[in-house]
Formats: sequence, C-alpha cells, structure tokens
Amino acid sequence: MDFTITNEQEMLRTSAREFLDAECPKSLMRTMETDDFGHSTEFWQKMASLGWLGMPSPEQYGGTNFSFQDMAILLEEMGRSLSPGPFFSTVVLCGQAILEAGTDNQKADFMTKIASGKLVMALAFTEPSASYKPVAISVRAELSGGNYVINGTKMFVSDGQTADYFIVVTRTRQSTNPQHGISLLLVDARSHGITVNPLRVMGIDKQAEVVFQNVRVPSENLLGSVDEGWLLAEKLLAWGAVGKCAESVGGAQAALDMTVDYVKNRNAFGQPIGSFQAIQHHCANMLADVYTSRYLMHQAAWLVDEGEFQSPEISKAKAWISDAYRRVTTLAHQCHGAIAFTKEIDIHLYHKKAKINEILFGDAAFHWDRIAGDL
Amino acid sequence: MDFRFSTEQQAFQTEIRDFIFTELPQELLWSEKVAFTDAVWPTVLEARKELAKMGWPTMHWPIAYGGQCASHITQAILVEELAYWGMPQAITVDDGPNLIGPTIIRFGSDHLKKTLLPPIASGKTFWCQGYTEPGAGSDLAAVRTTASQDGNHYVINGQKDFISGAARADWIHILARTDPEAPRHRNLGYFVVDMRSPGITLRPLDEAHGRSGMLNEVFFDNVRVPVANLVGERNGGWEVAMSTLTIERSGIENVGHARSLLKDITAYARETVRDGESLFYVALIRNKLAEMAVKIEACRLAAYRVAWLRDKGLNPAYESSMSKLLSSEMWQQFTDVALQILGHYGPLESYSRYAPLKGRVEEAYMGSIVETIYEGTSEIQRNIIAQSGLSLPRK
Repeated sequence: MDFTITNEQEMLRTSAREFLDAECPKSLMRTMETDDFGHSTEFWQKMASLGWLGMPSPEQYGGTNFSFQDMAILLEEMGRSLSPGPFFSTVVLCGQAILEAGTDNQKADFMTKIASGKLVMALAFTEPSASYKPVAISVRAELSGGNYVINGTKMFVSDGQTADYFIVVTRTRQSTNPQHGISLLLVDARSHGITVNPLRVMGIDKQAEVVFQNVRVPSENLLGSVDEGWLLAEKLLAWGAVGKCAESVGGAQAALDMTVDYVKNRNAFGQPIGSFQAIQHHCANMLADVYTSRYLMHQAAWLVDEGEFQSPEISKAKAWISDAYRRVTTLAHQCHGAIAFTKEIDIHLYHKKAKINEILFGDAAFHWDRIAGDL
Repeated sequence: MDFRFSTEQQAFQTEIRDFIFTELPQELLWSEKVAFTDAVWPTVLEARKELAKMGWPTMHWPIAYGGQCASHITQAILVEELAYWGMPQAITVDDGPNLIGPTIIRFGSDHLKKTLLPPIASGKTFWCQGYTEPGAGSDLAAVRTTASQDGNHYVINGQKDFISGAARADWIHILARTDPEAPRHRNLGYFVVDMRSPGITLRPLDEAHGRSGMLNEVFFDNVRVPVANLVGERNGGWEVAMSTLTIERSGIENVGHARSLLKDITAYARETVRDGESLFYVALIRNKLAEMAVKIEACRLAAYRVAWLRDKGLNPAYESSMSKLLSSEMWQQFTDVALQILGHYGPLESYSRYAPLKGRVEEAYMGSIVETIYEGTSEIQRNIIAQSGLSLPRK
C-alpha cells in the first residue's frame, strides 16, 4: 500500500494550478455562470497548447499518454478553480472512449483534432428517464442502406450546446437482457434532424436536450462493437464517476480553504470566530470529508488504471464523494454566515457544482445499489 | 499510488488467519465480554504467549530490542486481522507492545529497557495505562495524583479512574505531580508502577455492555516506587505522555470489527425472511448496508494512511485523530444499523439461545458507546483536527 504522489504528479499539480490561477480567474467563472455556452475558445486553445486536450492519447495522436491517476490530479485542480468548458466531455469521456474502442481511422481522425483543440465533443447518454441503467437506453438507431437512422431524445447532455460531435448511446436491437442491443455512435452535431435545446442548470455547468429526428449517420461511425456497446458505456460511467470524484475533491478542498481563511479573519465577540469550538468542529468535519474523499478518489483512479472498471470501490468513492462535497459546501455556507448566501462570495458556485456532480454518473443511492449487489 | 497489499503482506495476512484457527484457543473468538473473567483469563494469557512466540505483537520494534523492524502497515494488518476474527482486546490492541514498549524504547533508561521490554516481548506481562482521573479526562494535564520523593523512592498518592485491564495488569504507567509549585505541563512525572506494590487497591466498575473485570478505579495510598521507575525527566512526564498518545490507536481494530460484522450481518439479512421477503432485498436495509460498506472503506484508508505516514517517518499529527474519530463514529453508526436489521432479535443478549450472531451485535452496540469517549473524546479529536490540521486559533 503506497499513498505517494509522484514528483511528476506534484509538478503537474503545480503547473496546472499556476495556469488556472492565471487563465481561469474567478471573474471568468462568474461570467460563465450566466453564459449560454460556458465555453471560452481562447481558454480552450491555451489548454490545447499545454497538451491537456491530448492527455490520455499516445504521442502519435498529439498526446502525452498520461494515466488516469495523472488526469485525476488535473481534474482536481480544475474542480478547485471551477474551470468552465467542455474538457470533461471532450477529453475525459469521449476522447477516452474513442481511444478505448475506436478504429485506427477513428482514433487518428478524432484524437488528433481533440488534442489540437479543433474538436469539442459531448456524451449523449441519459434520456428523459434520467437513469444510467441499460434499461433506460431507448433512443433507437436502425440500420438502413449503410446508415444508422437515429430517433429519440437525449437529456442532460453536458456541453451539448458546444459540441461538434456527439457520442450517442443508442439501442440497435431489442433484447430481453437490456445490456444487449446497445451501440455507441459518433454523430456530427450539424447532421440534419438534430435539435439542441440548452437547459438552464444551476452554476457553471451547461447541459442540453438533444433531439434526434431521422438523423442519418454512416455505419462506419459505429464506435466499438454493434449491439455490445454496454461494456464501453460502463467504462464511460467509470471514467465519468471517478473524474467527477476528482473534480469534487478539488472543489471541496477549495470551499474548505476559503472557509478556514474566512473564520480566521472574521471577528465576533472580540475574537476570530475560528477560535470557537462550534466553528472548529464544523471545520474539522469538513476536513474529515475532504480527507476521506481524497483517498477514496485516489484508490478509484488507481483501479481505473488497473483496468478494474467494475470494482465496487469505484462506486464507494462516488457514493461517498457525491454526499461529501455537498456536506462540505453546506458547512462552508454555515461558517461564512449571510455573506455566502450572496454572490459576493463564490461558495454558492461550489455548492451548485457539488449538487451537479452528485447527480452526474450516479448519486449515492445509485451506487449503493451497485455496492449492495457485490456484498 | 498503489492500494494493494504487497505479496509478502498478503501472505502474512493468510499466515495470521491460519494461526488464529490452528494455534489459538477457539473459545477466545468473540470472547470480549468474558475475556477478563477467572474462567477465561488463563486462556487469554496462553494465547498472548503463543502470539509472542511468533514475534508478531512486537514486530514493529527495532531489531535491537527484539523486534523485526516491521512496517506499521504490516502491524496494522495484524491488528485488523485479529480483530476481524474476534480476538479480544487484550490480544488485539495490547498496551505493552503498542504503547508502553515504544515509549520505554524512546524515553526509558537502560535499566527499564533491560527489565521491562523482554517480558513484554514474550507476552508475559500485561500492562494498563493510568491516565484518567476523576477530574482529568479530556483535560489530561489536570492530574491530582502526587509523587513526592523520599530518598530512592517516590511516594505516590491519588486515584486513577476508568482503568482498562487494571485487575489483570502486572504493570501500570501513570502521570503524577512531581512538583506542586511548577506550572502546568511542567509539573508531571511519568512512572511505571508494579501493580503488586503495597498500597494499591482496586474498585471494579461493571460496564454498560455487560463486560466485567475490565474497568477499575485504582487507588494509590503511599505507594513506594523506586526512582529508577521514572520514565524521562522528573518534570518531563507530559512530553512522554504526549508521545505515548500520538502512537495510540488509529482505530484499525474498529475497521476489522466492522468488515467482519458487515459480512455476517449481510449473510443474516440474506437468509432471514420477514413478511415474505429476504431482508437483503428490502431497499432500506440494502441501502444502509451499502452506505456502511462505503464508510468502512473510508475508515480503512484513513487508518492505513496513518500507518503509511509513520513508515515514512512523518508524524500523523491530526491524521491519527481523524482516523480514530472516523472509525469510532462509524462503529457506533454501524452497530446501530445492525441492531435495527435484527429488529426484535437485536437486543437479545449472548446468553439467550435465540440471540443472532451469538449476541455480538447487542454487545457491540452498547460497547461502541465508549469508543467516542476513551482515548480522547470525539470533541477533543475535532479540536485537534481543527487546531493542528487547519491551524485554527486556540483562543
């Protein structure tokens, strides 16, 4: 058992923090809360030039071949700075899925464009039923004359409004076992028959409803194997869940840091409120949540690198962190008092992010069910 | 990072398991409640000697003192494994090898090392710690017990309270006021005292969960202790005690108990049909078990990280407080969940033939009350975390 963060990972953290402090100031985060797209192309190109957009890719596709544990360090920093934009959708989800299951042509085409900042992608997984279970996949894709014809509605598609391409999780065959008959398709967002309706969700996250009406996609845009795409969908859920855990650890740490700083300097009854046990115990509870979240997250990221996508420890991390980030931001509000109920202080943005991250890729109850199945 | 045990550690885990089931008396499994009774204590002593023959309880000691210089992670594996299978506290979290041994190695004179360490290593002496007093619990430095020098002896007078294992102990380590004039924290001596010394008397305290013979009040009435039994400087006892306390438990034994109970209570829920349905498939019960599995894993990582920090030579200043806090509160919550799952059968004591899991849950539920109180209450742990982990001001 080894809890060491490598020197390279420490360097990655330092350079990420320096970059994000400079290029992703709080003012950008605040602007993005009310922006319809939540995507700054200037910020995106800077991330491309740092090599971040090619992180998981091998060098031949312009990437740096980093591990998921490295990615987790970067995501933690992004969660700390509430970095906006489609990085998670493009790199952590779609990019890794293409690397995992794409043909050589697909990898060369998509990954090179992603790494150079020319392609934004989004994962169209959930539907109006708002479930991550295989039975919930009902958007139809039928093969007809060398094309898949897609019909149906995807909901809560993160970064749907900025995506150039979607990975759409579709049902290509009805089956008694809902895990069978699922196929993933690469779909050009400009295809005829696609309507993207932005949803206004709280905070800096951007989500959309994506409606498919007789959308024709060439059959070579199939990603992975036909009808047996659930395995890849499961991997997407694991990357998504653990990636959100990493973001959340960074965000929870930031909310704790802001709170500790505040209670050391805010005086009441002639002394800093941070000297009162009531406040100290709130802060201790916050640190306990951040601390446990951190190591559950690292263990889950390590399991992803080990190829253990089905491990219950991944669900344990997401179940715990889904609640822990929200608990931390709730106490951050409480320790700040009324000022953090206003937009004068950014705690509300972290709280909103906590709530969004809690739900994405399964909340605690969703993961408890999976954990119980393994008991 | 790597969250796997090494091949050697995995082999050690298996070796401990085999040893428990082949070499140790099986009547000791889940015997906590009766471990200190006349009927069972001789068996506990035998088991302690058997374990000591393997060198395991002191494996983390330096080689010069008969240890194996084993890692703290390996030592944590031993404690977790012994707890997992239900070995009583006098075996799993033994004060001799874990607390007083390392304290004597660090602060003790050559004489104390020579006379006290070998019998600890061979499992022959059983130690108890005498910190708490009627007015000195969380405020540990508020010691009223006095030690006044008389030639080659200190004469000790006072009372220690809630002392675990005192009635069976051969030795006790205590704090006593060596200088009535000196300021707080610089007026205490740290002594090791032979429990057979004239003037020591005990008053047993029965515990809420039905264990007898474990807790005692210890009275010192003109007890003469050789000057040589002072550990560290005459007025330097506070520093020694603080050192002992930082090597106190990470709560890994609670993790072992909880992982074991999770396995057994899940099996119980699967097998038990209530209102026509297996309890395991009742969503409320299923969710609670899963929630506990998550919390146990969080505590397990926190406890092993404390061991890892020690192996790296780093002082787990607030991390051990965190680990103790988390695991003790987890254990209270989990034993409550387990008792809820058992329903009407939950409160049946071990003496009842209808008691599920031989009454383990009822005993653990009531026994868990003290976990958040002894070795620093949850409130004290949160103070330490806030002040030491987050640098919040003391006043």
